[in-house]
Amino acid sequence: MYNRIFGIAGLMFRQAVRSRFVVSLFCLLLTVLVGFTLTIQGDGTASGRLQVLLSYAMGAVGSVLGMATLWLACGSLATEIESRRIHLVVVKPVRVIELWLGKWMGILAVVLLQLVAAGLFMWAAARIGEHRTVAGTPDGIAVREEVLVAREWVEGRRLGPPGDRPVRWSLSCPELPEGATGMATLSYRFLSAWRDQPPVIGHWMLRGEDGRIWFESDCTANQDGVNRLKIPLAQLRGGEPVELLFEERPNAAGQVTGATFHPEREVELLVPTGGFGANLMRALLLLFCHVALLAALGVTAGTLFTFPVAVFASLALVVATLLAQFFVFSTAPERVAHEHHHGGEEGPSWIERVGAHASETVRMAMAPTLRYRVGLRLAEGRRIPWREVQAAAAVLILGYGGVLCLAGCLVLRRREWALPV
Amino acid sequence: MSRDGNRSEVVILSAGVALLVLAGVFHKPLLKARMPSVSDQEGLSGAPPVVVFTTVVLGGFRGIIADALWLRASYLQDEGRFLELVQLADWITKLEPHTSDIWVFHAWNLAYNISVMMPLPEDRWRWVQQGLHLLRDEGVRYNPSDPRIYQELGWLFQHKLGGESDRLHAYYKIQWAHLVADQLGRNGRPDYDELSRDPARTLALHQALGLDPARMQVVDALYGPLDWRVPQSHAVYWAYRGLQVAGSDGYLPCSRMIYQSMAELFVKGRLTWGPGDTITMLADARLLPGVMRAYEDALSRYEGVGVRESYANFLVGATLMLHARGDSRRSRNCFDRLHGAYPTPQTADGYEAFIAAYGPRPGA
Repeated sequence: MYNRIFGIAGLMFRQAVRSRFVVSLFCLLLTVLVGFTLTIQGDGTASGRLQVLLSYAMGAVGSVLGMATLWLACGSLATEIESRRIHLVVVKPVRVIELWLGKWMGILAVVLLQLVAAGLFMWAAARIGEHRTVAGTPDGIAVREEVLVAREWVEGRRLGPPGDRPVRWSLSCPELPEGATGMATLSYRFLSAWRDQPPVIGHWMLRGEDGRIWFESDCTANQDGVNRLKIPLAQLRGGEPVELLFEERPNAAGQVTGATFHPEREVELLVPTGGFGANLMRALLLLFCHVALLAALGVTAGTLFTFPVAVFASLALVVATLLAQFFVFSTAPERVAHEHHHGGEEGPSWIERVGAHASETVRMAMAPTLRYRVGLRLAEGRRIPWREVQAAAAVLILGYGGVLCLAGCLVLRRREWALPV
Repeated sequence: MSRDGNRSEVVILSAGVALLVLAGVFHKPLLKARMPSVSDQEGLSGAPPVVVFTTVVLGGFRGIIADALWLRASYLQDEGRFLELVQLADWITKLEPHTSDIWVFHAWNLAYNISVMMPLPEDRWRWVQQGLHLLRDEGVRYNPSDPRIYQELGWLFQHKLGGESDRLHAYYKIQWAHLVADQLGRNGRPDYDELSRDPARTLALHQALGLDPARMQVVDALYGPLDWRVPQSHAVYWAYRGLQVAGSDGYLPCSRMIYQSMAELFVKGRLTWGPGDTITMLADARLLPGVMRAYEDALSRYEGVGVRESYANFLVGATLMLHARGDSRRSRNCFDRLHGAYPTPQTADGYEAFIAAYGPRPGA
């Protein structure tokens, strides 16, 4: 069975190479990546430029590869059925699942090849970016400690009632390697109704369960934007819960601003636990899982429809999935401005109700496919955990991919090959 | 393939080439005919390929792309993720390079809204500079005949750098003074003759500060002597350039910027370095003729738009300030103009009575 699957996969791969798809896609990806490298300017710092480059490169690779794969996958069976080349295969002792899996795996081999090339490019661009900065300078430190790193992040859980002073949070510090050096970053935001208010003078403390102070530092923080405080890793205890405390102090004029923390992301501790290379690999694997799902969608659509219809139908499903998120998000009750009329209030029309219901259904059905996204994590030096990659593989490839495979096999099994298309 | 088939292919190919040549022949006259009515091509001749591509090839779709980028910019800004915003602003403005509003909005957003989100002064200064560069290096380039671009650029100098609304305005002033001193010397006063003989310095000055020595000299001759380390001097420069492109009708916001900035320079237009990296801004009475010229130019162009009231207020302030500094001659000159142009019961009893009534009390 495996020989037959790999045989069909090999044929699919060779067909993609012969049709210059692989070379064209490689050239396209290279053009996009080189174009970004040459044109991106970031925020004027080396770290900012590198972050934007990584974020855009990852997004561009995902989009280009996703669309190209969908195209290739839709054509893999559909064109063979249309041209009747499929007869050469189906007359042999090959089961439909072997045919489907062979096509799918052949496409995945193409995708993997492209992803490896794109990954190498991004890794090289990152290393060049690193070498262009001087270690020890603010920009060099930012590149090494905030971008080219994998940091686990822990959100603080507020302790005590609102208004309690000092403000306290509970944090679970992630496991740290023995003798870890470097810096963790405590990121915190205040809620400010007005711009450019006087800074908040305060004092931070990290306290262990035994009541001993591990770390303390004074700070002068902005009421706008995101503030950061560096904490030496040597002063953290990996795997232990810790209490974080903040107390505002009066400024030189003896005044206290009374600033309150941002309700959504009060405090967040980012602890370096790995390197950029491994994080990039996990990000690419997440991307691979998504593209594998698109390949499965394309192959199955190709069993049902002719090539152009399969492309259209698959693209429509992808777009509907993305738009459903947007519609549900933007029509959530908390985001809709309610108009108060004098007299009877008009409810939503039936079209709006049906649309909302359809959007919600699509969103519910497809939400897991959008859960495992790389987003800005790679660029922000946030760790993409292995368990997320495993979960993505299970949900996207085995779960959704399996369902699509079954659907494709059912269609193939019932299909009359000799009938005109 | 048959001979007939080959022949028809050759005919079609020849027709295609002939049509292309014909289109090329008509291209230039058509472009020439289009230029007077469509200002969209303005400034595109030396534009980078990316801008020409987005402007010409994307056609109407560039508006949609610009909207999508704008939505992303708003989302990222709400989330406190600012890194991409310079990039997005660059792309959005390049998609609509001749829409001044877009340049103005993004420059203001970078210099005002985002800069204040930065906790460190050097980060803030970088964002303020991003706003300046966007307008000065790009916006002016693609909209050279729109006075509004010059006025908004001048506003960044007059208000963001020169004003005191930003908590870190002193830091900006010091950084700007350093930038100018690097180009024009520690006293911020160029030797225009020497500068004009040194093309390398002229180019460096243009690249670093966007200034053209010939224009600086004209502005200096009209309103100076200006201390170019002070941001308001640059506001005057850019507003003057705005007036130049506005034509004979003038442009009130630029004129207003010139007289307001000159009035501010009169009060604190001379920069002196203090101990360490500190600066002190002192009054510069030498600028009095320049301030009066700015006001009188504006008065001669615009009527009934608050210029008179502003001038009268300035003359009152200048009379009292010069008197307090012991410069009775200039103080009296200001009072004479005040009473001559805007007589009030307060000025009716003459200079001495005015000073006695409104000047500093003895021993105060």
